[in-house]
Amino acid sequence: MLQQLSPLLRGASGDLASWLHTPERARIKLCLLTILLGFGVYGLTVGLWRSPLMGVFVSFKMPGLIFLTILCNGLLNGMLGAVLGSGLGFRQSLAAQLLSFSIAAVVLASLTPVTYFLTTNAPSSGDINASTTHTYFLIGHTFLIAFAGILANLHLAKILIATVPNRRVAALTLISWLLGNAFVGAQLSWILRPFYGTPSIEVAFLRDHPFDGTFYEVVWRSLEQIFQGYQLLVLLIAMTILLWLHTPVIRLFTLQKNNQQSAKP
Amino acid sequence: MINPTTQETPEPHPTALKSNASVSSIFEALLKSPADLIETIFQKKNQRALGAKLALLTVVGFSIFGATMGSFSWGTQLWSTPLKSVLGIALSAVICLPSLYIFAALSGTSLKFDQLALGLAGTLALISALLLGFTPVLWVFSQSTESAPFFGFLVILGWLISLGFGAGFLRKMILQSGTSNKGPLRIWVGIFLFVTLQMSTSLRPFIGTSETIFTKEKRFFLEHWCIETFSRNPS
Repeated sequence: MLQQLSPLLRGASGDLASWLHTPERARIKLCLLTILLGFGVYGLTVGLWRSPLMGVFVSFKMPGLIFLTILCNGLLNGMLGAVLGSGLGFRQSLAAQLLSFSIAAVVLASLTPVTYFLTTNAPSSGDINASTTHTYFLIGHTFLIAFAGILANLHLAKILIATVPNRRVAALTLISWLLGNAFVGAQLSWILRPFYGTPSIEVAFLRDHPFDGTFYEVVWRSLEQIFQGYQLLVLLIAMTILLWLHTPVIRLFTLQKNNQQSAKP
Repeated sequence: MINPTTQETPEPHPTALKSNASVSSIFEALLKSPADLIETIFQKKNQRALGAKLALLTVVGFSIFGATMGSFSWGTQLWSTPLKSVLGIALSAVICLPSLYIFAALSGTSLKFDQLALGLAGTLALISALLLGFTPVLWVFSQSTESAPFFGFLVILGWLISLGFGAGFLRKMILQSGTSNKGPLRIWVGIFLFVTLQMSTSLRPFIGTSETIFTKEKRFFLEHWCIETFSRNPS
């Protein structure tokens, strides 16, 4: 499995384009299996700190979150790709997104020994300082997931550059897909909570009223409480940092532009 | 006319080491001509023997380095710290090897898992060689100071410097394989550093004494450093 995925991890344009031009059933299956296993095993280490049962729950919920996001946005993203003139069919756009999520899954799976090691070495969830450890975990896992996500986006950008004839269209398609996936994915993660397992709250597959509230309302209210009046400024700073973290992706498009200009006689 | 000040000596083409290269010649290659050792890894000949020799260098280097740390407290620490040093570095390598393979692939290289495992073994051997260089300095301080935080700081400083140079071996290997993207490797080095620092806390005490060889209480390394520093120096 890894042998088939390793050329994609390297991100050579030819490999990525060939993968997308012939999205065979076996390749789609491979992506689905990679997401299931990669996010599953990583999810296990995320929940394990709270309790083994929580680990099992999260090992199902994490790949579930990815599949639900693709399911909710698959049609929209396929249509956006077509409307923007990417020339990608519905199946190809789905394959591209599955491929990018597979990259994130492989990266997170490779970090699983590290996260498992940290879980087994951290103070337990029944400890006096459990809330501090919970915060460490929250920040640490958010950082790792964000890192894997940025790598996946970088590969998605490479796929689009390799297959879409126009660079501008490739960039627009990427932005529309990412915004859509982030918007829906964040809300779905709220519905599927808990993932990290707050020490003071009982272990459960889902919260009692999973559809109560939205991710965005809760984030806004939390920012209001913490930063009292400066929440908009903090939000803007967070958005800037997120944009800055995507510099490699932006640079990829700028580089392509410069290459195209220098190639012109 | 060529300006002699800007003229660079062309780097010699790397040549693989002999198949029956001795431990001392591998040690020398690690320090003086890593490109030759990397070429040997690429050629996939006698990989097991090479791996065993690199592992031997690592075990010897970390054992001596561990004994130096143990000499801060003497007693059981003199034999337990070398053992824990070897165990700690071996566990850290096993934990980080899968991510090294993935991050190397992300950088665009087509190196195989076994080649990267050997690359990591080479890195550890180089780190152990550099740590050996720090050993006399650390020994002097281990006998001169009673401050565990200060001695710990020196050990970590030595570790950081050695890791920095050791990571250079992996960087050269990635570059020699034909890619110029070093970003993912830099991140991996950060992860490896993080794991080794946590490992030093999990297998503590390395410096100072304890009633048991291992401590059961679980802590993050930053938390452990803070507790140890401020509990010993209340001011």
